[in-house]
This record gives sequence, C-alpha cells and structure tokens, in this order.
Amino acid sequence: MTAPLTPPTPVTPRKPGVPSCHDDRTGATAPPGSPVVALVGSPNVGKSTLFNALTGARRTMGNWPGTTVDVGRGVWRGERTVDLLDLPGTYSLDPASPDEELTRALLVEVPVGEGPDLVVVVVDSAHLARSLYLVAHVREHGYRMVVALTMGDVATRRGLLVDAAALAEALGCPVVPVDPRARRGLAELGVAVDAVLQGCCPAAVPVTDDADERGLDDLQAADARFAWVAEAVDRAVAQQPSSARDWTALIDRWALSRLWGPVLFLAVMWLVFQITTTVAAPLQDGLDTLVAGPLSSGIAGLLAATPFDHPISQGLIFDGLVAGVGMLLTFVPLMALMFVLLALLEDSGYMARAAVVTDRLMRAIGLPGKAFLPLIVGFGCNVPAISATRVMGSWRQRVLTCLLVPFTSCSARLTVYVMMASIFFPHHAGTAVFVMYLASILLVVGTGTLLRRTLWRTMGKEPLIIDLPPYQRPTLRLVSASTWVRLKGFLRTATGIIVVTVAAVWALQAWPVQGDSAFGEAPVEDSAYASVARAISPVFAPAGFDSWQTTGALVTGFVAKEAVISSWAQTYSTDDPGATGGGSALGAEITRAFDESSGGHPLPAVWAFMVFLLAYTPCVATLAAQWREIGWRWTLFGVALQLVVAWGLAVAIFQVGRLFW
Amino acid sequence: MSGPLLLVHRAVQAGARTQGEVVADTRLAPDVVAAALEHLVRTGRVATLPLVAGCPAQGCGSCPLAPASPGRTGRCAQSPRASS
Repeated sequence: MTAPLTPPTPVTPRKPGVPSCHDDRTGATAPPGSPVVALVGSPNVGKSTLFNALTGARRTMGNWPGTTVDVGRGVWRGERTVDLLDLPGTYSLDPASPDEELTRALLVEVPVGEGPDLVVVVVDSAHLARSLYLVAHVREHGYRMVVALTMGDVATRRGLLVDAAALAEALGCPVVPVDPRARRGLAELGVAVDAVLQGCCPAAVPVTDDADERGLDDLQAADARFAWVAEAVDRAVAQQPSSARDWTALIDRWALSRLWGPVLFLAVMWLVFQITTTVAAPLQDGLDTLVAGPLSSGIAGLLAATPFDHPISQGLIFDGLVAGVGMLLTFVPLMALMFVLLALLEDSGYMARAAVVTDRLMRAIGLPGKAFLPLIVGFGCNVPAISATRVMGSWRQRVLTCLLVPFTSCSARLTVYVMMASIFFPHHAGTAVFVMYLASILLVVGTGTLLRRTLWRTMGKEPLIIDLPPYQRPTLRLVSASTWVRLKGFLRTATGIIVVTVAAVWALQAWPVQGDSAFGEAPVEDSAYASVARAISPVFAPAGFDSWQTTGALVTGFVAKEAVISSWAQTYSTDDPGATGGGSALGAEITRAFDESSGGHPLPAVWAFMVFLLAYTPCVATLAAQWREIGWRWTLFGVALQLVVAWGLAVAIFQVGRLFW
Repeated sequence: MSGPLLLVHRAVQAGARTQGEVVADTRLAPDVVAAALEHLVRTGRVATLPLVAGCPAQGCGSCPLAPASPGRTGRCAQSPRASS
C-alpha cells in the first residue's frame, strides 16, 4: 500500500539548474512513482555501508547532472520498494565543498515536489552530537525523517550507552539502531520508513521560535541548534567506564593538571637527561679511546704510506679532523640515546601534553597562542623553528617569536652542556643539563615578557586548540625512524659544516703572527687564531671565562654550536699533542683554563659560560633563516639582544656565584 | 542566554587550549564540546594546528608544518627538515 506523498515545503526559492531527486537521468531503477528516500550523514558514519546493505550493493554510480559529484542510487526493497539515494557526506547543510553543495541543493534548494519524500539521517552513536547537528539542520526543512543509529559497537567500546527510545522522543522522529555489516536492524528501519512515509510531512521546525524577530547570525543560529543537540544528548546518552579512553583521561588528569602537570614535565625531562648522560657515558668513553688510539694510529699508518705524509697534512688531519671531528663523533651514542628517548615520548603521546604545559607558561606572559609551536620545534633545531613562525597570524607576532626562538636550547648545544657537565659535575651531569633546559624556558619567558612590555604592548589573540592524541604504546618502527632522521642530521652537521670549520680553525691556528716560525710549525699561542681570541677575551673577564682558548671556541661557535667542542679539541691538541682525542686530557685542560680565568671560582664561571652559550647567537644558519623571514634590521637587533642578554646573565651569574662558591 | 556553541567559543577565546580544558570550563558533555569545536574549526572561527614536537620519521616531506614554508628554508643544523 502506498500512501499519497505530500511534497516537502521548499524553504528557498527555485534556482536555475537546481537538480531534482526525481530526475530519471540519474540512474533511477525503482518502478516509476516509487518514493524517493535520501540517505544523508556526516562522512565516515557508515552511510554507504548502510546503502549497500539496503540495496544489495547494487548501485548506479554517476555524476549528478550539472555536477562532478558522484551520487549512488539503488532500489531498496524493504517494507515497500523505494528509490534510495546515497547523498554525499556532509556535516551540515551549510556547504563547505562541492559534495556538500549538492546535498544542500537536493535537500534545500529543490523545487516543490522534487526533493526526497523522506530523509534517513545516518547518525554515528560514538559521535552523537556531531551527527545530530545535521539532524537539527534537516528538521528545519520539514522533511519526513528517520534516524538510523550506526556504530553502536564503537560507542559501547567507548562506554557510551545510547537509549534509542529516549533519543527518538528528544528528536521527535523514529530512531532505529542498525548494524549494516551484520545486517541487523535493516528490517526495523524499513518498517519505520514505511510508517513515516504513510504520515504527513511535518511542519518545518525553525532554529528557534523567534528566529526571525531576533535576526540570528550564523553563529547564533548554530548555537541554537547545538542547544537542541546538547539537550538530546543529555536525555539519550549515558557514559560508562571504558578502558583506553579512561586511561588517557586518568593520565591526563595528572599530566595536564595546572599544579602537577609542570612537576611531571620537569620530572620526565630530568629523567631523560639523567638516562642520557649516565647510560651514554661508557659508550662515549669507548669511542673516545677508539679515536685517540686505534683510529689515530691507523690513519697515521695510512698517511705514512702515501706521498702526502707532510707536517702540514699531518697537522690538518690529526690536529684538525681527528681532534675536532673525532671528538664530536664521540657524542653520537649520547645523541642517539637522547633522540630515542624523545621519540618515545612523542610516539607515546606525552610530548603533546608537555607542549600544553609549556604553552600555559607562554600564555601567562601574553605570548600569542601559536608562538609555542615554533618554540617547541626550536628545542630540536632553531632553523626550522624560525621557518615555523610563518604560522603566526601577524607580523608583530612573527618578529617577536623569531627573536625568541634562538633562546630555545637546540640539541647542538646539548653536546657542549654534556661535555661541561661531565667535566665539572661528573656525578650530577644529567641534573646540570636539565637545569640548562630549564634556564632556556625561563630565558624565553623572561625575554618575551621584556619585549612584550617594551616593544609590543598590544598583540592580537588567536584562539587555538591543540588536538591531543590518545596515549599509545610507542612502536619500534616509528621510534627508530624518527631517531635516525635526527641522528642523520647530527652526522650531516659533524661531517659537513664542522669539517669546513675545523679546516678553517686549523689554518688560523697554523698561521703564525708572532715569532719566526713557518706555516704549520708555530705554537698555537703565536697563531692568528690565538691573536684574535686574545683581543676579544677581556670582554669575558667579568664573567670568569676570559682565557683565549675559551673565547676562540665561543667565536667559532657562531658557525655552529658543535664547533665549540671541535675548536677546543683542536686548540688543546695543537697545544699538547697528548690531548688528541682524549676526552679526559681535554677535560683537564679545560678545567685548568676555567680555574685560571675565574680566579679560583671555576664552578660559577662554568655556569656563566653555559648560560652564555645558551643565550648567544645559535649558528649562522639560524641567522640566515632570520634574515630571510624578518629582514636584516630585526636580525641584527636579535643578534644584539642575544649578545647583551648572554653577556649580562653570564656576568651576573659569575659575580653572584663567586660570592658563595 | 548562551548555548553550547557560544560557551565553547568563549572558552577558547578565553585561552582554553585543549578539549579537556573546554569541557572543564563549560561543564558540557565531551561529545558536545568535540562537535562544537569541530563546527568552529570548520567555519573558520577557531584555528587548529598540527603539533610538531620533532622531526617526522619520514623526513621533511611529511612534516605537517611543511606547507607553511614552500620554498627552501636554509640548512638545518640538527635535522634535514626545512619546514614549519
């Protein structure tokens, strides 16, 4: 029995070229006069699976006339035979894509009698509110409507119990739970559709009763729909405990807590540095011995067998490459371990929580919301972090963030911290490195506050939401791949720009500017390198590290921070061949230099040195990136700012520290 | 009186940074907050950005922030990525 169908009331005037659901050029195969039922729903709610189950997967796919959008069409032989349309997935009837436009056109803009006779809205039980927004929209157009409730199994796993009867009462239309894959609920859906088709078209339900008088804008109209949705969800959904979601929620209660979140973050980071320095130390020592012993001997033997066995080539290879690059390569195990630990934190989902915790600190001082993204990247490497400032909405925000990025402690600086901490705080190396990262965060916050209160007192706000992934067990594949990408970067630097820097430093150290020695034969104290470093070193006297060797290392550190270590190794290797490649011998030389330059207060001088290293210009690549992003004026301003902050803090730390240490 | 969408919108504007914070601020059901946030993002009223805490395992090409830097961005000291 077929009831007379009352066409829905169109709510918009007819537009030229608007398609019709009854157009037989679209592959309709149901007998003429069959009611047209449209399946609508958000993407990924199981709409097409339901369509296939209802039509026996016999669909006619084709572009709707005048569009390039595919629409499925088939015959549903349920309680009665209907012409079933699988309309493109859409979140609402406010289209954001051509697919959604077609769905809107077929439901909203159709002329009288050419829309579907009934709309089955497919609703995802696991994301009920999202799906019900479309239901709210459809009911405003006076369609006969049935809700098909899918994804019940997913909802159950998440602890969501959806009461279909209560939902039907709240929505004012039949709600039928279905499982198209198991073919459950299809007959009940057919009965419900048939029953509703026999009734009259309901009147359109406006967004609110006084919508016209109030003249709602888009946001207010959507808000009114959400109010209706929230009420329906309240009436129909009960939340029960579930496993994975609960674990994430439980951990997040601590990890994101305003009080315990920062404590946990600090504890995790301390543990990372503690493990890194403790576990990697024996490996590093082993590599050190290998470089100083068998590797150096092997290279010497090879060199002796070639016609290039000359004092100059020996100097370049042993005092330059073996001492400088070799020393840097002993850090590979340490860097690898550090990268593994960071990859584990990222893959587990914790790093996203750490970002939220640090972001709160940034916001507290009025930094723009998106600033934390490049700043987080900066802890890996400052260069991509500078590029990442392109996500900032305004020029001011971008310049401010570009000026702050160099204060984030990149992993290149980590090698120097570890070296200094191992020499001066051998039993607390991890804690010392951790303190430096803490200092980096404080430096960003402090400098940001200073700039916000002086240069940029007003800065626009941008609402931003961080999508937190659920916690998961890290996978070996992702952790190893992520570690390798980073380690490859470290090796590329060590074997690329550092090799060039080492060669340049060696040439400067071999070039005599005092005495009568020939090139490559002069003591390093008489070299151009020492001469330049000596001229600059008095600047660091108030900070307690004005030895020319330390100053020389800091100057080459402008190229890249790894060069600080290679320059030290080269300088002491040239000065004392016994120190070649030997970490402990190098440590003894550095200790002596700090003892002398600090007037007997080496520890405050070491802290002052590490803070200076943290705050002054990271590397030439960062400068180039800044130049490109914010221009040379701001770049030079940034360099001046970094040097002033670095020097000021170093002097303050040494001068205060030597009173107690 | 404001409905759920406006409450969520205000919470985000006031500085809530995660869905959990919005739920805590508005006392709405998590599902409603998730749907409201999706709506605000879809309509361009709230921005979402991929959270990048390090280099992606697949290198620069798969960096979610890469579209922000279409050109060459210079040498990266620690990773080959030129992005974000």
